Amino acid sequence: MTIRGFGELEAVVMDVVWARSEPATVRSVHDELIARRQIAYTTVMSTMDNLFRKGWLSRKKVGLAYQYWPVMTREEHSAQLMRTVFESGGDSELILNFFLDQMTDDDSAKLQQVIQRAVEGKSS
Amino acid sequence: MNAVTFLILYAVALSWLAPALLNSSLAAELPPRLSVAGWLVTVGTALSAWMGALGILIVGSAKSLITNTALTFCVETLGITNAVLLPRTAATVLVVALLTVTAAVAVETTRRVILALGRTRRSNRDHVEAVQIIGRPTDHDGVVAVSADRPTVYCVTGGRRSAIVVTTAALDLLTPAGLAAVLAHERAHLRGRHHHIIATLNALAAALPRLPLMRAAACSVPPLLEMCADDAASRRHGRAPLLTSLVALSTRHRLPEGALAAAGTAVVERAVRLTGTAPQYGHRPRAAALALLAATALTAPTVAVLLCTL
Repeated sequence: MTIRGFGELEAVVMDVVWARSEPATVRSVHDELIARRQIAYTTVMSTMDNLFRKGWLSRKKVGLAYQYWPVMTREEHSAQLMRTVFESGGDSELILNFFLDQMTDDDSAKLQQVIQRAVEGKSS
Repeated sequence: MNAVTFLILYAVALSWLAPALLNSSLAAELPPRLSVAGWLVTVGTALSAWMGALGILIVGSAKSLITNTALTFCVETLGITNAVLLPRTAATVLVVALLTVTAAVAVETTRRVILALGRTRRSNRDHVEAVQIIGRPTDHDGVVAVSADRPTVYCVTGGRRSAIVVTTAALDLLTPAGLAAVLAHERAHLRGRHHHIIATLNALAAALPRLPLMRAAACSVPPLLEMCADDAASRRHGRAPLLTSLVALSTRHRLPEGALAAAGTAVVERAVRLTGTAPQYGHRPRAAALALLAATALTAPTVAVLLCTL
């Protein structure tokens, strides 16, 4: 497994934290990752610090180390993200959707006709 | 008529008349790629013509103010013969005031375009980041799955990172061949940097709301880009899988049964093209004519600027 960029590392760390039921320390996350890949303790630390700054993780100082836990579950994040996507509607600056807008009944009827013709055209 | 008058007339003509030509039935028969090129060249040319005219005016007026011949300059620049006779001070004030206003408008417009582009870029970057953390990697490169009960496929790009997002509902709905075709469609968007084109046109339309050309371009180009991506996808995967997916995603049902409820507005037009009932592009001479027109449109202001500076 190779690290393809900082973004991927953030995703990997979030996966680990999401899988925990207890708050995670940098040490424990590093211990889990080092079993799968070559990674420096400081890299994990700065990644988790970044995730805290960006609002993905919460933290609390316990003794000398920080304990981290996710602000929201993956499902809550997904729901929130999809809400912004669907609410943006035709905001094509944000996303180039394969399709998104609502279709009128008139358009639906036309589309149905077109498909009907195409299906008939192919069978004849 | 001299360079500045020519440039201004040219910019006005492009800004007000070009949308009608580019939206005409002649242009509708062209391949979408060529139409997009036509729009972009026209927008670029109109902007250069406005900026060119402004540049010449500012340089010229600065020169004439230094040599204290404001009135002569004003009259000469606009190519009118000595029709107006104003006292020298009044003329100077008038020229300076007009130029200040014009330059201020230009600077403000540029500022708004840059700010709008920066905002879009930031929000898109955040979105890509979120998608890459939340989404689960799929078998396809650069494609992540996000759980949602609405089927949709989209791509997003911010900075140097980009992602194609497929909802779990879409994964359930689409056939493997259909998914491959849709992914090819999204990859064509990313490859062609369609986000940047749309973001730039939207920023221009917002900053220059009085120019019909900018509004029309921001309206007409996005559906054309969808068609460009459709073309790229159907070249590789054929039309059938793409059409099937288009309908499936638009109606949330597999083709052909089920009521057609919610879908995209430009979907019908694209479906018509993909079923092959729309005229195919056999009009090479017409395509060549439009390309020639575009080339002429582009060179005209360049020639004018050259004439002026030589």
